[in-house]
Amino acid sequence: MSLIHSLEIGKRALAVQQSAINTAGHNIANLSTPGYARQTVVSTNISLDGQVAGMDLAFVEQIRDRLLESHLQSETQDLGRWQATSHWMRQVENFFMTDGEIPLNTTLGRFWDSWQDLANDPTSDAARETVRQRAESLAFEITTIRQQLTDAGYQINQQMRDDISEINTNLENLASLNRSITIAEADGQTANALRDERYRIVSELSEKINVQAIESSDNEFILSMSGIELVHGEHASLLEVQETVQDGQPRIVASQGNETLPINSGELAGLAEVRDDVLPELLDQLDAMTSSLISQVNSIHQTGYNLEYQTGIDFFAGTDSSNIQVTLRAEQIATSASASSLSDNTVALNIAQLRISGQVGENGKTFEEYFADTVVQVGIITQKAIRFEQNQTYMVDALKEQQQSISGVSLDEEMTSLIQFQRAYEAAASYLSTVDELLQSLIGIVS
Amino acid sequence: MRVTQNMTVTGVVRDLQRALQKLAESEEKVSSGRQWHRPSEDPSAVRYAASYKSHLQRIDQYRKNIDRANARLGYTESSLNEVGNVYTQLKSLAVQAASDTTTEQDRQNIAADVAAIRDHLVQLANTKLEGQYIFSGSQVSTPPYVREEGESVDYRGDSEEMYIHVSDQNTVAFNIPGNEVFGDRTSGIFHTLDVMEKSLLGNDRVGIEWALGQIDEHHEDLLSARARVGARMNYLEITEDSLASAQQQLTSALSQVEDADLTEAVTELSQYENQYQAAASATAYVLKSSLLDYLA
Repeated sequence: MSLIHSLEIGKRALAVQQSAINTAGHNIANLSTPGYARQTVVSTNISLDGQVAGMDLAFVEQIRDRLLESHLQSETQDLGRWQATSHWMRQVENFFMTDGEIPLNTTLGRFWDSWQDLANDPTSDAARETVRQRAESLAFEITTIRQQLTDAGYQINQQMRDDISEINTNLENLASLNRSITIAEADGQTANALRDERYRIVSELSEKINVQAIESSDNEFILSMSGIELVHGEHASLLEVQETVQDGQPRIVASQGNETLPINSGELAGLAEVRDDVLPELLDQLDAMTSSLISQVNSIHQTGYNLEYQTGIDFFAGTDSSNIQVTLRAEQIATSASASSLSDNTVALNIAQLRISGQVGENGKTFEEYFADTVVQVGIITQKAIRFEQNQTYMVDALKEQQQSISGVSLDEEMTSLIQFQRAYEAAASYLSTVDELLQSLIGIVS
Repeated sequence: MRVTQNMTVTGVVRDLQRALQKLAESEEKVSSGRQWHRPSEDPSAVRYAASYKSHLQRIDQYRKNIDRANARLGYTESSLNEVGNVYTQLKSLAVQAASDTTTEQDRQNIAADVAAIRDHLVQLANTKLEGQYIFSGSQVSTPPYVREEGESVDYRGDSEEMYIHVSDQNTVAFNIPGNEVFGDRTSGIFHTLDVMEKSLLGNDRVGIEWALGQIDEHHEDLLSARARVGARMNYLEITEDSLASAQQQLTSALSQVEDADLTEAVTELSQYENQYQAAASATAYVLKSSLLDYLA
């Protein structure tokens, strides 16, 4: 074995230590880069012709736990779903309750109260005017809640549209990243930075939809959702926005070739749940209450006589929460059961008694009970969403911590490695200078 | 487990965030005095609170109705009381008129008194409260008793009793239709007075005796009307008492489901405050130290 060969060993040692120092520097520099997994230099000792030949750099490896990461992504999808649900349900809650009060129930109560006052004083203009005004407030509050629920549906649609275009951008990015990775890795190297970026994008997608990423044995990257391939290597199948109308409300869905995509987790699933299950149910209940109110008040009111000797007149105009209103004048409010005595209060009393005897829904609840039930239901759905969001946050946090524990950069480690590699570098350098001295001695002998 | 700086930072920030959130919730509880503000915080409490509140709102209205009925029945009662005084006066006049010692001239004089009393009674029967005639049944804007020149006094009201609710299931009538007390054109006090006046003017002892008997009967009717008014006012009083006690119970039940236990809330607040401070100081401490501090 020649001294020249020894020089070669020293050179390789310097190069490997140099690269280890670079890697430590790279790790430190990426301390806070999202999705970054720490890297280590993997070196091997090598031999040439059966003789020791020092070591050489094999490759720079990323420290990741693939199983943990795919677990984390699927939990992130559930988190995205509950976050979206709880966010919207907190808004919806506000439509029904203000600071612990149910404003609509208070207004309903005041409406019945005003009929009692009118029954006390059927000829009083002030009492009539009060009934009319309270009925107007009631109609206004009902239509306001309806408007708020409908608007929430519109906004959710808008958010879904934004989400879908964001998802599509990410799908395209993934496809082009895959191309770059194939090119970069053609010579057997690992494109760590590109793979980090790909991982980050899949994580981002996981917040929105239920995607699953796999890398096939021939290194082909496939991203699928409920069995449908969205990205296959360099090819991305984008989501389409399909606009339909359901129950008079615009509704957009993610589709591909007119097939609605089965999104069952992530933010999009949460949004669809609120829009398609919760809001329509609440609207139905509001309508059930409102149309019962209109028909029951009207059917009693029609039997009565007003100050203008009219009978058979409706009190409320409209049919449900979309169009309930009060169009009659105060003098047209009927209180009397007979044309011969306009100051009779029988009809006013009967309407006032609807507070107790009014029936909404199958179980014959009073108006106030029925609406309180709706508010309770909103509370239960919201509470569930908030709890699931919380639990899911703990879960995702714990997994992220585990992931950090494996892949995260530790400054202490890197600093220690730096010192270690520095010393190794110094040792290699001093080895080189020893070999150099040996060579010079040898040359001295010769000359 | 391997721990990195990032983990520590993420961890302490998360802990701080949670501690701060709890602190904020606790502060809201103490400052508002309420256990919850949103349906999701306690859905079942929402149901109870809504039912208690709706009940309390109804009780408020029933008490208002009772006040109003009391005012009307009270006024009716005092009017009937005055009518009673007039009847007593009338009876003594009738007794005097029927007496053997009373002269024809005396009877003429008494006839004038009777005419004046009739006018007074018409006035009493047309008593108004807040612009409404209390004795015209449901025709509260119509004067119930009208005497056209030279005619008998006529009843223009109806026999309707007007009801109001004093509880979820019960109603009370707040008026006595005038015809139950004073009768109408063909029978009743005004008819009796007409006959009496005529008999006095005609010095007709039989007619006077008949009127005397009628006056006693009218007085009976009056007493029975007053008894009805009294019974209703009693009933109102009992109902009012039970409403007041229900109101008290419901208010305390509502407070149970809505109000924060202040002692507990304040203790909790100081606990969370300590927790937050501990988390904050831990954060400052953790982020301070690093291996770099010790490397030359």
